[in-house]
Amino acid sequence: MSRMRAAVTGLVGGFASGLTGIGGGTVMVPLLTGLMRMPQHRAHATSLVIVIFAALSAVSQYILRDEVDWALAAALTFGGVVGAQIGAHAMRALPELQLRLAFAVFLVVVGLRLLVFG
Amino acid sequence: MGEVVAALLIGLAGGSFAGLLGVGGGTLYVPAMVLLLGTDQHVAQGVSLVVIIPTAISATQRNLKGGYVDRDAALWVTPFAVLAALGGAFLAGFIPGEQLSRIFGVMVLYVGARTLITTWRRMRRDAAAARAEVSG
Repeated sequence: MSRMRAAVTGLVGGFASGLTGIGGGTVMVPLLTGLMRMPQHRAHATSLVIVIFAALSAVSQYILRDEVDWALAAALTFGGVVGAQIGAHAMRALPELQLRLAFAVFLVVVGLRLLVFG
Repeated sequence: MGEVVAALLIGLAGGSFAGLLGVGGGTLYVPAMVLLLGTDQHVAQGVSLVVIIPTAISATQRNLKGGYVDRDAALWVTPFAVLAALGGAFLAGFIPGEQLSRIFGVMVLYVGARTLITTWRRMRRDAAAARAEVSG
């Protein structure tokens, strides 16, 4: 792995995400497969690790401004943790190209939404 | 009560989608909360970030067991990503956001469409090769 490429991936992905408010994973996965030549499954799993820390760093300002509904967060987390296991299992079950196709569809939907609604 | 069930279902859908695609899930959580539960946009973003942390950890535990995580890459990408995101968020306060989002939308759409087409072609080629092998 090239550390230089990893640093560039982090800088480009983080900057784009911070500037536009779009999620870290949406920009990170294409950078990991493109710039860092990772296979699709590896890119998804590695992106999630980066997302944990990106969310940790961003969440503090929302907590400080009291913009968190904790009861709602608890209910969502309950479903989310179970869902994450289902999703991770599904990822493992999908072959490389099918997973890549699923991510491409996701990108098209996100791109269209940004384009139409700003 | 209905709201709790709706929140659980949004969590379940968002978590599955996040675990599959390697993203946080905010793309689904935030509009779902705003549209289905009537949550304020800022609060929805705050809740989404809170939820993303345990869900991403949950999927990562499984991915670590499966050997899918590139630890070295994560170690080197993460600090740069976190710092650059803070810088980007700071700059975002000074520029018109909507215009920028649209430009970014075009880029995301381009990458998505190109990936969709190339992957689709590769799948068809692979399928044709498999058929040729069977008949040959």
